[in-house]
Amino acid sequence: MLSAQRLDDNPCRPRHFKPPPCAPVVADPVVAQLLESTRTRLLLALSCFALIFLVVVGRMVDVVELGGDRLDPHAARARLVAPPPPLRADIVDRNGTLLATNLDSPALYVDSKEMLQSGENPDEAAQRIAKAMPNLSLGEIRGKLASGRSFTYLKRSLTPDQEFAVNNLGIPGIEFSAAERRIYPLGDLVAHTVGYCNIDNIGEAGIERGLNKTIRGATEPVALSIDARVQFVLKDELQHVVDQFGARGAAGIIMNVNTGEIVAMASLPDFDPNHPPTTNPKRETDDDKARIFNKITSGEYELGSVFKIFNTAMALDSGVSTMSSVYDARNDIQVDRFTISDYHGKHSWLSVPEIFAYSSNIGSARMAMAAGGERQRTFLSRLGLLSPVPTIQFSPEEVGRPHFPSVWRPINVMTIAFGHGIAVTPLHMITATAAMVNGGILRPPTMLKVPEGEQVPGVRVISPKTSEQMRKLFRLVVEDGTAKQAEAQGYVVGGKTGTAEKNEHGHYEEKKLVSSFMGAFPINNPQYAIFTLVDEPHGNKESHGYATAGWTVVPATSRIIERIAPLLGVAPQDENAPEIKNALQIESLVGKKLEYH
Amino acid sequence: MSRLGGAFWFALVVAAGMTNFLVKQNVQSLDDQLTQVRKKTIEDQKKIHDLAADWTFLTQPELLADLNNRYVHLEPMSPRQMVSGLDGIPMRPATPLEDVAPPMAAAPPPAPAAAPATTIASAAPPTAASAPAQPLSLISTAHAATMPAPAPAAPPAVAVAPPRPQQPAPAAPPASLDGIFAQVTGSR
Repeated sequence: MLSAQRLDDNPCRPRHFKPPPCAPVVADPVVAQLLESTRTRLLLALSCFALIFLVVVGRMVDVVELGGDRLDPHAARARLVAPPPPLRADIVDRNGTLLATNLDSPALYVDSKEMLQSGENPDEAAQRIAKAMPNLSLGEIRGKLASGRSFTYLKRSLTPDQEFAVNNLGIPGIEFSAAERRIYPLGDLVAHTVGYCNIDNIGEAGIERGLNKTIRGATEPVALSIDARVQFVLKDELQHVVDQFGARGAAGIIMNVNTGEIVAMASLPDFDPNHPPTTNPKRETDDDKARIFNKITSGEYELGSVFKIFNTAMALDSGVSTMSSVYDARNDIQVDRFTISDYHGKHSWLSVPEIFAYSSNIGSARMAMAAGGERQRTFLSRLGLLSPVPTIQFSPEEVGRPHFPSVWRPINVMTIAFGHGIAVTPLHMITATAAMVNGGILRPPTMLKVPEGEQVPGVRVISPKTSEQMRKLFRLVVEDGTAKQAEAQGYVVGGKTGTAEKNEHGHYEEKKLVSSFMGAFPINNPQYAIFTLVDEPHGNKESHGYATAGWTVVPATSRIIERIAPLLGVAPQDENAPEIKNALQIESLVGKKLEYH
Repeated sequence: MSRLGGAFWFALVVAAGMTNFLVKQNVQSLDDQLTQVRKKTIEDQKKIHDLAADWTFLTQPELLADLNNRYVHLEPMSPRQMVSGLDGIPMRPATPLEDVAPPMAAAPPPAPAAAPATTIASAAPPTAASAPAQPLSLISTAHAATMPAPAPAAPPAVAVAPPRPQQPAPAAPPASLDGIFAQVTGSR
């Protein structure tokens, strides 16, 4: 009303613009009252709406800017980019070959409550299910179907065919629950290395157990140092040895001496990790135990003459002996009730290379005595031969603990010189030997792939010069000693054989041997070390009745090296080339001919 | 006027509503499509994963060895079948010098081709540098330049440069494949 008056008073008011016909005159207090209350109501409604809008706006900001409720189906759909990560990461070999992976394999369960409510006849349903899945017993199914419980597993890990068949039956109350199953496409090839999982996807053996946490957390595949092709060759040849000599078992391991990577590791007999032998201690048979047992990491053996590698290295590195030192090996040594004698008795004074090549126990014992027990013990301990192998990616329960005398008496010093009275695992053996030939650096063994070109730190245990002498001695054994059959043309093999009698119930069994060969190639510039072992071989016609290393694992090692060297990229060389001959010639033996028979 | 304004606002509201509806519809259908694609991708990824496992199973060394023994009988490579490095590869048998020399004398190779060959060769093996006869040295350098590494026993070099130095200090072999290619292409 105020504005109307003002308009009227304005002299500049446009003429065509008429003032409102009459100014609203509000005099009636009833009307005023009414207007007032209407305005209040309006205001109330307005603020109500405003509040609702504020809530809506707030929610929008929440959803768009702050992420909103995680359970919102639309939001979840938008984030669905990759499949859910598997429960366990894949395990692959060094070339990317799958060693272990997860596949969907649903579990079948019955909701008996629902089934009974739906009016389905459990007996009839059980018969139909039993028809679709013949390896389930009818009685068991019927019991589960009629139990009245809302969740009972009928079968876990169904194959796609089984799932299809059961799904087709269309029985109410029969449900699938999504599950993954660990499968090992290569079967028994890498059984001991990779190990296996139980039905709940928890690692039970091997890498699966040792790296259980890593594998469960990883999204990228875990790459092992194993090469499946090399593994196959190793296993194939070992199996051949087992068959040929009727042995109880065999084991082999191949290691890159410059990185500590384990390229292959086999233990026979083995098992299929897809169907592991039962691990229930009550139902486990001896055969199951033998299959699951990993000889490489857990098997402690008195390895015999291969231990002379360390004895000789100790004597040479400490300066107690030189390559031309000679020791009296004319007569057996009598200590207490023990007699130390030679298998290939020479009955003469022998130089260090001769002791090594003829594998003289007497000479080795004398060398060890000259060096002394304390030095021997320290040296072996430095090589890690007196403690479990550290840092290896296996569960501690699967890593063997060496056996050695608690008191280091002279008789122990002598027998340890030639590998008796001390038991270590093949893994110990190859790790320490790698350091003997690679220039003297001890590197921890690893099952994980080392990126190419990466330098692996290690500890110096012997001088480069001693290592060079050891390489010459290794070569000597293959050229003129007990391992002539180890020669693999073009790959300049070097090594040391060992044939030990098994110690059972406190005495050595003459007929139960553990024959082994510790080799490296190409020995003029070692890249790989290989250790092979056969458990209780029996001589046959081809081996002229011998079951010693020279006739069992040595020829096998030769075949293995011939087959794997091209796979590992080791270039063949002419072993008769003068520069290689000269590099591996032992000065003190020039002009001498070793007579080995 | 106010009626006009009302109509305008109404139209605007309708237009905005329509646009909003259409955009929303569009987004929703795109969203559905996206979901479909993602589902398919995941499905395919799973299939690929399953097939990878299958592939590993089917190509396991044991099975391949068995198939090999039955059908193709391949054998492991023997060391004699392998050469270590390029120096181990023998050169193509040398053409007798008498046959090569006359055409070379009659029609000497064009200068641009010959020039780089000689320069490279002179920097490379001593056998070429010590070649005595001038016209022959051209041939020998051309050969030497194509040679990837100085092979003291390589036929052409022996034929051309008999007075070999007592200790043929081997020139540095090309560091990489690229180096070899550079040498080979440079000589053409």
